[in-house]
Amino acid sequence: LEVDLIIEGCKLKQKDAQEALVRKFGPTLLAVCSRYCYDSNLAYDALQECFINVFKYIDTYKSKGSFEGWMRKIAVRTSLAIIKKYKPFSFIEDNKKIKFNNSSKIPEAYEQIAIDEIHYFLQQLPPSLRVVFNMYVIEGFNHIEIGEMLNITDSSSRANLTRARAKLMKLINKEALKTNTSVSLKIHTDL
Amino acid sequence: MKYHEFENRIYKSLKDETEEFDANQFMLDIKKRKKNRSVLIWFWPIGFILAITLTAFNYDGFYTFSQNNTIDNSDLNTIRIMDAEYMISDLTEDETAFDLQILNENMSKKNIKNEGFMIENQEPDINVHYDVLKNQQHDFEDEVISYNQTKVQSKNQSLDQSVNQSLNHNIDALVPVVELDKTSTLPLKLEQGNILFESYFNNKIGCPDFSNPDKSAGLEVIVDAGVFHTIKELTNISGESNALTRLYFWWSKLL
Repeated sequence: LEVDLIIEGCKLKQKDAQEALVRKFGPTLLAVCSRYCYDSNLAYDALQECFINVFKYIDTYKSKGSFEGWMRKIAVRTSLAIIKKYKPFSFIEDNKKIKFNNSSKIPEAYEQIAIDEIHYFLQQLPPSLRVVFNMYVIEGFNHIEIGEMLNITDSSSRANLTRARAKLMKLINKEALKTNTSVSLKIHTDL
Repeated sequence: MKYHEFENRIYKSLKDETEEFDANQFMLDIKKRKKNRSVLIWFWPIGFILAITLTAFNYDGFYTFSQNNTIDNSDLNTIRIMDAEYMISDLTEDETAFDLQILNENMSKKNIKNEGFMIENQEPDINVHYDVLKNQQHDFEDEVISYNQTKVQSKNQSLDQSVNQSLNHNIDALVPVVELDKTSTLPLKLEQGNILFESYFNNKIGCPDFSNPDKSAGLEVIVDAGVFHTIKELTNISGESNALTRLYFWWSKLL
């Protein structure tokens, strides 16, 4: 009900309602923007654009589906526009099939992975792979939607997701190996 | 743990992730951004109108025109080159029948505005066609009668003489320029190659002092020179004959 009141207020261009909307959803949307931009200034810019668009197009929201989902979609689109502008990246369209097994085992050390560690790994992915990974895994877009938003084919989106997964797995294994080596070295020196 | 479970964990961790920020400052920043944006939105139409206006003003001063017979086909379809003012200072009583030949000679001698207006190759044998609005002659005659009954005869004589001369020079007609105490316009068109001149002769000052040839006769000649066909060589035009100029042409037509 509270959100409905805020939405109604925003439709009437009430400043209080707009501020309430920012306070309520701002932190979540800033996290969304940060995941795509990986630069606090760009993320803040994207968030501003996002809210400007939300205020502008709130009349078009027909109360079908989650309001937060609608705003998240806007946040993703504005973040993509910002990174395309300031940190352009391109997708490599090749037909090379990458094998990736969804049942591969994750090293034990990363079974209870912290948010910071997730960001650490995601940040190391190339932007094109990271964007597709974020859109598919976290936002829940399907490949057709991703293809439309990124102006690529859905098969290219699939290929990029597979690459992202493979790369992520590789990074985690590499990091685990490093940790194991340092742990074993530590044990060895202690002994 | 298998990879898909791991990915599920990533989803759960990041889905509800939040990042704190100063909402008050954010609202202020949004307001600023909106303001900047509205300025930018208004800037373009204002800038566009300003550009058109500037082009319109600069149009008068910047374009100089020098044409010769080599002007021919090019990509330019339409340019309007200048509105020039020219005071005919050596108009004497005998030349009340305004002779285009004299106009052209004067133009070739003198600069119009500070940029210069030159018409070359004005010998009678070049292919010059003067298209005068014939009905203006009747107005002229009426005006002359009302101006000075005593001079009507001589003026008409000089007109006839000039017409005869002009016909000999392959000029269709001559336009006398007299109208008193008010601004009059006697539009005439002349065409040379692809260039169409539209000239307006205004008597702004009043009675031309025909008795004193050294004094300005008070005639203002405004010349619109327009190239309405394609041009191959237009090398002596200073300034820009760009899209804005063309746009100005259509703009001025609309106004």
